[in-house]
Amino acid sequence: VAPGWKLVHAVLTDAGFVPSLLTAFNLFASLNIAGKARGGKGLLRWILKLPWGDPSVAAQLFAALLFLFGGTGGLINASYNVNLVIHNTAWVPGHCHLTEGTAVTLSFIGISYWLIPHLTGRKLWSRRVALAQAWTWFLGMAIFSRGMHLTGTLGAPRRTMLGAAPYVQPEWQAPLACVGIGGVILFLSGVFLFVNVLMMVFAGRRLPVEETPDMPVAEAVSGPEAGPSWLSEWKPWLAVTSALILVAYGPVLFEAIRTAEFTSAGFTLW
Amino acid sequence: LICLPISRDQKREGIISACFPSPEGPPEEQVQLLNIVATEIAAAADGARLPAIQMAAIYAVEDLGQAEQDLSDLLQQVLDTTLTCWGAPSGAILLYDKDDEVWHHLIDHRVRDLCQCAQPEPAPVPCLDQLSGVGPEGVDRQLARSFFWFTGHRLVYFWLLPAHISWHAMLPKQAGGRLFSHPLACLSFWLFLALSVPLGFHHSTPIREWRLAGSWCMRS
Repeated sequence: VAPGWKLVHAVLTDAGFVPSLLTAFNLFASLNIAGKARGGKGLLRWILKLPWGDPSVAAQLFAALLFLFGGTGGLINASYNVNLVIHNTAWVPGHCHLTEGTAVTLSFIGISYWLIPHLTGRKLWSRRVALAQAWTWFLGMAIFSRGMHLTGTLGAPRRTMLGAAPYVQPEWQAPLACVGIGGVILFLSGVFLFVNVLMMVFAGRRLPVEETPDMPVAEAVSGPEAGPSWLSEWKPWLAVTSALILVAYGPVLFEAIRTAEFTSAGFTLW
Repeated sequence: LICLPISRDQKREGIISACFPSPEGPPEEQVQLLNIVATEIAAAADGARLPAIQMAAIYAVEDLGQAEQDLSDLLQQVLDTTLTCWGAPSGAILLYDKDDEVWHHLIDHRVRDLCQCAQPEPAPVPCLDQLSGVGPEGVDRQLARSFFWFTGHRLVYFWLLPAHISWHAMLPKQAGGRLFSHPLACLSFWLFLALSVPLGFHHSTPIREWRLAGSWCMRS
């Protein structure tokens, strides 16, 4: 690949970090407004004033918190010199567990804590179990992915049954133990989740209509009218996206299809 | 100790290594030594920036019987395990003696079918070069990988964006506040659309292979 094309793909990959940073900024600013509105003060102390007792909020806050580390690790994956070290190692599944396994999954779990009562009209079976679930997921994943990242940095391959590999190094043992311990805590968290959801759906107390939680819709400090109109239109963004796809995939697919051998070995049908 | 570079187009794609000590099994020091050697091989492949798909695997073998049949069974196990671990479609093991002569080989039948190996032994290494084109199932790997990751990376955002929607549009309300900026949220979602869709390429070529690939060809 010519250096110019490498640059295009490296820049595209790194540029993907920008919207993540925008999201982080917007989210923290919004939470800051919430914390201050609840009487929080100081540079960071307002965080304590957030409704941590609400499992739906707590789960999503934990998800966002671990996404900070997942996003940073993603930038490391995309950097040439560090990728040399961590490519195809246990680092990568460690990264996936922070992003998809926590930012996404724990957020979805948090959403389900209001969405299932909203849909079924049944009360969340146990707020305490739900809170314990969010905390154990957060702690378990922090330990688990920390171990995976470290074993990956030390060279342990991914997609490998390390338990049967005779080349496991002594220094891998401690971080691998972290993976095991974190995994057990995560399993507990999963049990909490399933028990809570099953009890809620099959044995939860029926809520009267007026007590069923509504879909929370946040108002904006700066509404749509505060931004330029091209932020509310599909066309320019679809055009930019199509152009980028063409640049990124056009030459690849052209070359692949040009040289493709659309042939198949014969089949024996009987 | 037996090392086999599996090559495609002059590129080393992987290493299989194995140890076959005397019939009474390896002494403990030897196993330790082999572990060190295996790590060295992996480090050497890394240091040379060779696109080894995985680290070297090493198998210390105990109680190896004299019979040829035992050896074949054992090699088959080693090969199967290694291929499974690497997710490799096929592979081969060659055993060399001190004079670099092949004294035993095991070639995965898929490789053999592919090469239609009429060549006398020990010819499988050059044969493996043919793996890079059309696979045994008639699948063009390059094209298949391109299409797969073309759709693959956005799948990540297919999961991530609903979480982001909740963080932007619902979480501030649940936390008792308001969204800081609606236009900023729009911008970040548009950027996700524009920037995440063309990204799949970074999966199909490990970044460190970019400097080795001569063209747009993508193999991993």
